[in-house]
Amino acid sequence: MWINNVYLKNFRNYPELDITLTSGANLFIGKNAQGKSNFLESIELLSLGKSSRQVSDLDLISHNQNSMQAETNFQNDYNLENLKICYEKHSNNKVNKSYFINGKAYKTRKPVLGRLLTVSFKSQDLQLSQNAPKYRRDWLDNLACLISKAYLEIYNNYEKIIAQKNSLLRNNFNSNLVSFNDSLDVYNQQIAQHGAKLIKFRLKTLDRINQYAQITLVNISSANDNLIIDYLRKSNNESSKNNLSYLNSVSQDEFANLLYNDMQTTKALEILRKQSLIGPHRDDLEFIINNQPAKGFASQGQHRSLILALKLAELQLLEDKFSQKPVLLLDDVLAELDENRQTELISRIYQSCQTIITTVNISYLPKNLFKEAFVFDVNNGHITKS
Amino acid sequence: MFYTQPLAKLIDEFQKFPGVGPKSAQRMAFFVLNLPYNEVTSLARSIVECKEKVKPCQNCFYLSALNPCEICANLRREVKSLCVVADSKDVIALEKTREFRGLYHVLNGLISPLANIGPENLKIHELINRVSNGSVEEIILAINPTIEGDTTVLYLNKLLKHLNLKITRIAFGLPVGSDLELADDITLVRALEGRREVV
Repeated sequence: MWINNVYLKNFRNYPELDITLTSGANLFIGKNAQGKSNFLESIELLSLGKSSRQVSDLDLISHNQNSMQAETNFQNDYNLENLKICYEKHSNNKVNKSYFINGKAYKTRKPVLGRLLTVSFKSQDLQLSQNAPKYRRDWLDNLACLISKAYLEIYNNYEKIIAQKNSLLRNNFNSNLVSFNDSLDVYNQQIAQHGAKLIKFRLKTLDRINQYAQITLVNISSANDNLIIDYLRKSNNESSKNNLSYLNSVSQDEFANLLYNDMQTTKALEILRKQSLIGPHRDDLEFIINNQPAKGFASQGQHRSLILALKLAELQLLEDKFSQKPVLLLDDVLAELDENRQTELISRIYQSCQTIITTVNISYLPKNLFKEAFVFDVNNGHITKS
Repeated sequence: MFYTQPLAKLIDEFQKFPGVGPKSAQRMAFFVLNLPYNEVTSLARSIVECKEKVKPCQNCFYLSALNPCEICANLRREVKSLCVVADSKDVIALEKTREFRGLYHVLNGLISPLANIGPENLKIHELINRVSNGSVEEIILAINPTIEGDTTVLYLNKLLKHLNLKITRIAFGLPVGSDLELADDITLVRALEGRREVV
């Protein structure tokens, strides 16, 4: 699948942009803070239906403007498709969002998901294995949403319940103790039910990623490294077993019971901290290389190989799932990789995968990339083909 | 603005209505200006009269000018089944079917800590009192299948289950006359869960 063109209006620092891309490599070169990442963000927006950055919807609209529009025509194996997303600033700073697929309007992002497939690899992704757990959860959740829209529904419902429970814990309702306890118990029941579904789904997704990541890691690192992504379920019971093969054997109903019991024992602490402390929104992933957790043991190089392996696994997983090659977005990341890893990544580009690359300096990129590539200059919200 | 002051005020007031934006509000205000004087006073009077006379019923909290309301006062209705709904509008929807012959109980909302609505803010206490006197045999929870709805149902079930009543919740699934292939996944799953034996 490949993007023919992208049209932006009042998107971040782009007043207006209409740009045609090639189905091979597209290089975007520009100094810092000129809009390279913003451009990639607009493509991710069209792919996911929301920004991949942790920002408010309002931030996507240029300063002093009331609406923003992002549109693309892209080619998949069967036909040419059109995606358009509009954000309109409403009174009291709310944003009205509308989504168009081939001209037909939708109110939610759900139908957009899985249309334009992208895999993005940013320089900050290199921190994934060392960063806060939230980044790892988001990575898994976003991928799971792309693979199955049912997950999006489960995820959204779960988030709603957590928001309600947190609000209950914070506000302590007129401190009527009986009804407070009863409401809390009701939310715990719901978290157990919906959370168990969520965990089951995550495990299923993780299982598939694991199959791919192991192969891709061996391809990159000359050493025969062994990679497993493990799921860490947050539990107040320290001795509870948490490895993947054990968790995979637990049924959804058993998970619901485990979660419910954990919440019962943590209840006092949750009330004290005014936060829900148990559930999949607190879980984490652990990357294990050769039976050692990467966080404490892996070298910088191993971390990089690990992340690269994950991204390539993502690429392969989506390709097998949708029988389409996703578009690869590389944000300032090639310069961070050594020659072997660059070669591995670039070999993918030559396997007819459309790639959009941003960099500060063209000399950071391997020379053989320029054959047939489109090169663009990014300068303060304007992009020109050179 | 371009509007003269009383007109601007009226447009402002109309904008407070749900689903009414600035343009609709302007259209409504000009419509009012073009009405004959007696119709305008009649409109104003109905608004005030409605607000003064329509109050929640003392038994079921359905909005009515009578107290007890028309439904509670109707002796031909069965006191043994009680239908619990979130809102007076739900009563109207159910009444239109002319199928349900029991009484209602309006909760006046659903539990949602985010919106600052706890069980105390709903007519749950009144519901318990009402069913404790023994004439009710079945409670039908006609509450939306949303997160807030599910929460409220679980909460009510907690309080009501020891009273030895039959507690049911209305079925969820495919809209009648619709097509299986058009239904979304979540609805289909719910419909499968709520399947029944063919008799």
